[in-house]
Amino acid sequence: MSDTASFSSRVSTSVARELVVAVTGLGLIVFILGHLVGNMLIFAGPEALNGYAEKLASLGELLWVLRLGLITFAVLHIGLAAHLTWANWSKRTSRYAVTAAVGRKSVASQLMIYSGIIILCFFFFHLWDFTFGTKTGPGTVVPLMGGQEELGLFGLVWNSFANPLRAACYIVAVCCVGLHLSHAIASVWVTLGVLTHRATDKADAVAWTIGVVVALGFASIPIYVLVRTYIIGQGA
Amino acid sequence: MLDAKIPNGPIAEKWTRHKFDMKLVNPANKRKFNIIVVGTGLAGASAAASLSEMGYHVQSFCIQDSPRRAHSIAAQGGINAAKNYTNDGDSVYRLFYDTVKGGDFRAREANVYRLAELSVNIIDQCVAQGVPFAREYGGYLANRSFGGAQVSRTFYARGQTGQQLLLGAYGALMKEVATGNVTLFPRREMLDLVVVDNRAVGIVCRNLISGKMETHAADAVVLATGGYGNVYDLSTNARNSNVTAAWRAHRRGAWFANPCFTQIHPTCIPVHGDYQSKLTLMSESLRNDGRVWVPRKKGDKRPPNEIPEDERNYYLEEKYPSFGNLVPRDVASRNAKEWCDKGYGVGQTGVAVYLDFRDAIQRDGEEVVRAKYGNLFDMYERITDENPYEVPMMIYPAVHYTMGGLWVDYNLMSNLPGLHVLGEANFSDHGANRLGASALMQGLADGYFIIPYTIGDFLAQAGPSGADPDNSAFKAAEQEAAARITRLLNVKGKRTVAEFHRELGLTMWEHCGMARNEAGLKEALAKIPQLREAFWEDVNVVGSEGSFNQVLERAGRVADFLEFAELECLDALERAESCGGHFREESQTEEGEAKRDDDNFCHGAVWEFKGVGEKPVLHKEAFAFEHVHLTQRSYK
Amino acid sequence: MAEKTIDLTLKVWRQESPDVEGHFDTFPAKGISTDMSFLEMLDVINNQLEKEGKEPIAFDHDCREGICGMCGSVVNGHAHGPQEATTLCQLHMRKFHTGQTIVIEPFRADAFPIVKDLVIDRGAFDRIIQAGGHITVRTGQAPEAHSVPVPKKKADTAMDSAACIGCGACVAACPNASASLFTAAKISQLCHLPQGHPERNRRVIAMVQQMDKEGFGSCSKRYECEAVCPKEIKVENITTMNREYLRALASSGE
Repeated sequence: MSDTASFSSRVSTSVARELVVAVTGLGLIVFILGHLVGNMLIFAGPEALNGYAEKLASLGELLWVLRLGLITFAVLHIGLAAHLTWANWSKRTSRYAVTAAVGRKSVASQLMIYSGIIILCFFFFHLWDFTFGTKTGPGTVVPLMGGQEELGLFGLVWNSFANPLRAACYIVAVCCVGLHLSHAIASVWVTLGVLTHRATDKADAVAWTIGVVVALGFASIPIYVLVRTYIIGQGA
Repeated sequence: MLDAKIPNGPIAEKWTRHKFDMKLVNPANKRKFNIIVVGTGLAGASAAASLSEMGYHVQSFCIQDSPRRAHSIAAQGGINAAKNYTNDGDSVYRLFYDTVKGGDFRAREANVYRLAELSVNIIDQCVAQGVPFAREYGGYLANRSFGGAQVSRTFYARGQTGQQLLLGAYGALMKEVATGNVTLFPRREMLDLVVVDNRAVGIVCRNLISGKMETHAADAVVLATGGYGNVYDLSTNARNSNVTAAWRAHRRGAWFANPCFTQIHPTCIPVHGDYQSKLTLMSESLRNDGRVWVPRKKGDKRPPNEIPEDERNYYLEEKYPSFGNLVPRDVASRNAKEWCDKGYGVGQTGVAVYLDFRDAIQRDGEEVVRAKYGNLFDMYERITDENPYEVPMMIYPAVHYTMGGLWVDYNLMSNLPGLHVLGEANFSDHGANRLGASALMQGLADGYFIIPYTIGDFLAQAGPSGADPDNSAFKAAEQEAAARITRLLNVKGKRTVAEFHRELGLTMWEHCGMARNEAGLKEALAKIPQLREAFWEDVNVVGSEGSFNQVLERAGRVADFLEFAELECLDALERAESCGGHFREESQTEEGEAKRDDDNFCHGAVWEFKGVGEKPVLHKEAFAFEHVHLTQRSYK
Repeated sequence: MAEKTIDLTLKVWRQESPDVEGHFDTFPAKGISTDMSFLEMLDVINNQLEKEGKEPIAFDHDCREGICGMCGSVVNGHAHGPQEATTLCQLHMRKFHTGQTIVIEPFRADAFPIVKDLVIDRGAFDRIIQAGGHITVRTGQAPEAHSVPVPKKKADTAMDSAACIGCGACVAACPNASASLFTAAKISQLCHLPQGHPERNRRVIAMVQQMDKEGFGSCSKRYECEAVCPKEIKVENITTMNREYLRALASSGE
């Protein structure tokens, strides 16, 4: 009989790992939704967004606690998901000559690891770009919005997205986030042991909706900046 | 010589007394004994698990890749037990009575009584194992009437009762494998029994993956290897079911009883092509609501729904007003054959009758019918491409179960000390005809509740066998089995194994099927040895012996069927009476019903092997009926 | 039963033994009756091969009525073929059309080594059940069957799960070769019955541990298993297994 008693053996099974991936994923989803709501302040103008950023910064040590928590979640989520994926890839070393599409499998479910990798790369780029980017000086001046005034974070973001290539990269990245979430949110209820057969279609629909809302929500910012910069211009 | 060892005392106390009288093996000594159990169906799995729980070391063998796949799994309808949960007057005595009568008075009363007595324990055991029997809203077990029983004593798990009971026994077996007390040998085929000093002490088997021969020694051998229905090639049995283990034991000295008692099940999907590999049973619960009929006009080729009511012949309802469509299996089968033989059969082949649900659907609605039989209707449609909600099913009888088997005494031990035989493999408690939902009951009674006691009595008296696989008897048996395989491979003839099997099957079906007569049986007895000779001269067994070789597996089985078939026909010829599933045309009433001859045949016919092609010696075990009085069965 | 015949081309996986490389052999299959089952079609091909003195295609089969779980191959990418809720032995040739090429492969998973051609070793399933897929009750210990009523709905749910035939199609279809559906079905059956409760925590941990040990992957919730299951076992069973697992983690000891 296998060792069922020891705690370490109970938490190291594939099911336990999936559970940790699910719980940490849920935490990350909460962060992403909060982040999205904060980001929407860009539409309210420089004061709103910068004020929000300052308020966050004023949390001081608490902010670092939150950041540490977030990093822990991310590390666990990414580490275990990568480990499970790697392990799963090694379970069938001889491939089928013919494969057929069966079941509910969506593009999203097949691309989890790839959308995850893109999100991870994007995450570092995003930190370097905005979190640690210079929020003073000429780079934060948006002639379109406020003449020669430095607009802090708002200016940095705006000018960043005014570059079409960079904006496109962002849009692709947030679409990956949406895609990732559309499968994650559908499947997390299975992992957490709460999804009934009858609710499966609903869970899929809810997950898909959230995925689309998140992707559109984040993408709306670079699109807005691009539209303001190149189409509407100063007139708005 | 034939001592059934029936205990003394009133019938209701025999088993209880016997349990007390039997010798016990003390717990510390049990672990010194090794028991081989061949087969992992209901009887084999339940026996192996129970014996291991008691402390014996068990070696469990099966031909499939997992013990869970044994053919008990295919039983659909249910399992009988005298619980009287429905308050309709059932009792141990009534189940006993019905079984003896249903078997047409060709079983041992004491055994049947014990079976009925143990039936109630089986249900308790299975429920405790997590078998998900059907339940009512109150949470209590549901029962139905089955196979013509006048009381509702059948427990069921949808249409998969056999599967659920087997998985229960399999679970128990796996639990014991996990303890290390049972060693599992899947994909092994028993090819011989090893007998030393008139005691069964081991087996020879072939590892079906590597092709290697193996010998295994033990203090007792238990065979639970099922029936021989596949001697007919086409039957409802699984493709790999075979007689080899039982036949090899017979050749080594175990006597074979009543081989002509075969059961033809009335509700199967008819044959539809010469490529056919299998006849599919439709649960006989269908007869609860379906009405059997043929057109009144000979060769009426109109679609069934265009045949008006007054041109339909509901022949069972007309002939047997009180039982109607629910007459026992043998009666229903024979009547279907009779009407088809007279030219009233339906379908393309004319060898089928209708089983019609039109009236049930009109009465109860399609939803009710779907709830009861949905999975069966789906299965029918998958196979035939016809929708039974709209057109009547077509059915025809097919070989289903074999009541004959190795002779055993009350302790389930054969005449060979140390060789015990359980379930369908023994000549059993069903006499000449088995009632519906009784096979599962017998397999589990034998395995869970009888053999654990009786094998202890044998071991306590006989002691360890001291058998050693290096002993010369083991070596000789192993060499013999290997030589036979080499011989099969070396024939290198022109005909395939399947062709021989088909030819044998057709001969058996024609001459030793639903109705038998002297001339036909004699013809079969002339044909079979010729076919056997042709087999050994012209069979083509491709592949090698040292690898996974399914052709070789089947060749060995067909070779044994070719020997066994002769015994079955001989037994059928010798039994010049009709009883149960054995219908001799010479012995019928004026109305064409089976007519027993109790003066001459109220016995089990027990055959002793004397060599291939040699006439076996017949021994008789006389049956005494002290409780259920000999009467001609009537289902009018 | 409008019988007709069709002509097909078969591409069948051939592999002599577990350790040697496999390859595809191509066979013409002419005049196949549409009333044949898929396995009867293979019988016909094998009979021809035997006539030619060639080794027939090895494939597992037994009951041929969809209950023993012995048969199963991947047909054109579908475990058990294209018909839903149907084992390979119950699949009929009327589901194919003349001129079609049928590619037949074994169930592939490293935990199911190939024995020969289409025959695989599913012993890993037995070992998962050995780890805990049973109720520890000795013969003779059982109380009277009616002493513990089981609500009908629970009994029905248990039966839904218990319908699993252990064929391994779920593993074959899963991109991770996961045995989650098989393992979960047994856990779900037993946890819905009061008789299964005393061991429920130990059971789920032990069976999941054994599943990992056998080399099956984990569940990515892609539902291929549910789609190919001939007995329509639902992914909801996996949800139940995960819930049981959480409960076991939360409880201390047994």
